[in-house]
Formats: sequence, structure tokens, C-alpha cells
Amino acid sequence: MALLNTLVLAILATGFLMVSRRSLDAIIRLYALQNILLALVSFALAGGEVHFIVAGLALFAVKGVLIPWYLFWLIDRLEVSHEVEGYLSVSLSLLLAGLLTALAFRVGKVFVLPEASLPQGVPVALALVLLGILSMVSRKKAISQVLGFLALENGVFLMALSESHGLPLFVELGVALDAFAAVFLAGILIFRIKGEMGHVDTARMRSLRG
Amino acid sequence: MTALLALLLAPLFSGTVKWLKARLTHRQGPSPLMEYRNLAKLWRKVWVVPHPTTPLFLLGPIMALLGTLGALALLPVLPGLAFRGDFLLALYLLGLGRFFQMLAALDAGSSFGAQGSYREGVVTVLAEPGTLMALAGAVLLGEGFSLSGLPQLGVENSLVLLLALASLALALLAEGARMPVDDPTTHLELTMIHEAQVLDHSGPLLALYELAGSLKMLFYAGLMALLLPGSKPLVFLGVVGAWVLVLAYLETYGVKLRYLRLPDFLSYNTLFGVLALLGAIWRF
Repeated sequence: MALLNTLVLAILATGFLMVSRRSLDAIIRLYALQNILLALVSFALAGGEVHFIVAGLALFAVKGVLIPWYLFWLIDRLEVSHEVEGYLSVSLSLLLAGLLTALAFRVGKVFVLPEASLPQGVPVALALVLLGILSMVSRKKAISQVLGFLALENGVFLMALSESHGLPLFVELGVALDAFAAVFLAGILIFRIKGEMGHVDTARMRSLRG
Repeated sequence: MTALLALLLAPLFSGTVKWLKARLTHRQGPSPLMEYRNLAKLWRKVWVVPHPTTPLFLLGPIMALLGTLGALALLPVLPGLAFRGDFLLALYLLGLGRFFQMLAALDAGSSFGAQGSYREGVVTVLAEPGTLMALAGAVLLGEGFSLSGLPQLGVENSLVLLLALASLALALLAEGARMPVDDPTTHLELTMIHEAQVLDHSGPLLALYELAGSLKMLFYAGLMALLLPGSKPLVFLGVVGAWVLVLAYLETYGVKLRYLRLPDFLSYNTLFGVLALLGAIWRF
């Protein structure tokens, strides 16, 4: 139990750091770390069931290695600066992150089902979802918004893991592949944005042109 | 009792950090016991008082040491006195020492001292709320509203206490004038915080400052030791040893933050403090 607590808290810590760091490389590495920690949680919850271990491995391979590698390749090809530009200062986004986390912990207990396998994971999952939304709305570059979406998706995964003793294997694999497909499409979209406009700054996209 | 133990330990602590830092960069390094000899040497020297100073100049180092010792005396690492709300007194005794240190630096009238004082003031203002809230959160979970009734790290209070520990760790780096906040070995006017303040003091006065500086770090290490399970004096020694390693590593491989980035760094401290307090009130 102590191990699981530590893992869950470490996941929350990576969520915080993803909101507050100002370097894209660091955020992608934190995202990879978050997924490795999630995979460890699913191994720890497995209790000898094979489908948990397969799902954890798939998570590790797709979201812990493939997506970060793809994102690194993407920012290399785009030739944009590796700095994250946001609407909020670091301290303000951390403060908001703290308030959102407190809110998630406050209301999280209501969402715990009676047969939840990891009750302490539910508030953390909620917090991750909120932190993902926060980093999606508070950042200017398209890539950092994608990263916010990925953090949100991890929150949903952790929620499923802790509430319902895991989804069926095929759903789990489907979700992992879905996330990859979404990121892949977002990458293509970002390339198009870069090609059309010469930048990937969503703050500068104001008017709709036909 | 704790204060005496810390007084004996403090030079060894800073000496070991220096020795380990030297070893990490493949230098011979002074012996860890060098710091005792250094203090004795400083103590025997004459002190120079700049001309237009008031008694505040002498009071600064004395109050810095007394305030830190008073704060340490309230730490129940070894059994000592305890009363309701003693954690507030301990923190603000530390603050009193710092206040007089800042006044003394201003008193000499040199631009260095003033610069160091206002920087120290900013660091203090940024680090204080988080530390206070983290401690208050931990104290609320314990009994008696006192440092001696602090809870120990367990399964049900792990969240609050881990947050409090993280907050205290960041506070130690900031208050101890350590690496990401201040570089204790630098002599570059743009970056100095603590060093700039003690620049005018020499001889025994400098010795008092040096001692107060390492005692301050032992105070935070002691606070962290109180939150960890186990026999207190042993845990205290363990935490101090761990900090020697962490500080030596940080100061060998770390870089100093730009001064303007400091609020970002210390906002983690405040964040952990707020979360610890909320966690204690709402029972996460």
C-alpha cells in the first residue's frame, strides 16, 4: 500500500511539474515519466492477472516511449523554440494548479465506488484531468496544448484503473492506440499550421479565413 | 538540549559539506573538522568595526546566533520544553535573528550590505508563508498544537506530511542560502545574498554568523526529522547526513537560479505549504 501511495503521489508531482516547467523537452520527459509510473501502478495492481501486465506493457511502449519520441521528432522538425509560452506566470499557474488539486481532493471522495481497487487514486486522477485542462487553456503553442491533452488522457486512464479494477484488455489497448492516433493527427495538423502560417502560436490565430 | 547538540554538530555539518564538495570535484579538500579550527581562528582575531556604525552592528551576529539557538532549543529532538504554539515561536525566533542580521548589514552603510539585506528580505518573504503553512498543517494533524506532538509519517497522513517535508526541504535551501537560491562560495556582487550581508563583519563576529548559518540549516533538518518515524536523535543524525549528501551534490552539479526566477522556485514551497494545510483541514 505504501508503494502504491508513493507511486500515485509521484504521478501527481509529475502533473504539477508539467504545468509549471517552461521547457518543452522537460515537459515531454515528464510525460514519459508519468506514463512509466502509470505502468508501474498497473503492474502493482495486477496481482497475477495477465491482462493487466499486457496493458501496462502496451502503455509503457506506446505512451512511455513512442509518443514522447514522436513529439521530440516533431519539435525537431518544426524548428520552433523549445520554450513554452503561456498566458500565466509560473507562480500563478502553480497556484491555480494547487487550487484545482485541492478541489479534486475535496470532491474526489464522492466519486470513489464501493469496489474501487485504488481509492486514493481517484482524487489524483481528477486532479490530473484538471491540470491537463489548465495547461491546455493556459498555453499558446499547439504542441504544449497537445501535451495538456495527453496529461488529461492519463488522468482518465488512472481513473479507470483505480475505480474499476481496470478496463478490459482490448479497451485498454484501444485507448492507448487512440491516444497515439490523436497525437499523430495533431502532429500532422501542427505541420499544416506551420506550413500555412509560419508559426504554431494559437494566440496569433484570431480570424477565420476562407 | 537540542540546541547544544546542534551547536556541537553545526561546524561538522558545514565542514563535511565542504569536504564532500571538494571530493566530488576530485580535489583533496579540507578535513571535515577544519571548520572547528576555522571558527577558533576567527574567534582569536581582532574585529574591525567600520567607523559610522551603531551598536546594531555588534548586535546583528549575536542576535542571529541567539535567535537560531532559541529556535533550536524549542525543537524536541531531545526532550525539552514544549507548549501550545511553540512552532510559531521557533519560526519567528529564527526570523528575529534574520531581522537583526539584515539591520546590521544595513548599519555599516555599504552598498553591498544593503543589497544583500534587501535580497535576503525578498527570499524570506517568499519562503515564509509556505514554511509556516506546511508546519501548521503537520501540527494540526498532531496533538497539543505543539512541535512535540507532531505526527510521524504513516499511511493515513502520508500526503500532508510528504507535502510538509517537501516544503521544508525547499525552505532549507532558501534560508540556508544554498545552491539554487544563493551560491555560498560566490564572490560576485550580482549574485551574492548571504555573503554580501556578512562582508563587513570580521573576526569573532564573522564566526558567530558562520555558526548561525549552519545552525539554521540544522533547525530545518531537525524539523524534517521530527516528521519521520523512529528514534528522534538517530533520525536527526540521519537527516543531517542525508542533507550533507544532497547539498554537496546540488552545489557540485547544480546551477544557481537567476535572481528573478526565484519566485518561481519558491512558489513550489508555497504551493506545498498551501496543499499541506488544506490537506490537514479537509483530511485528504
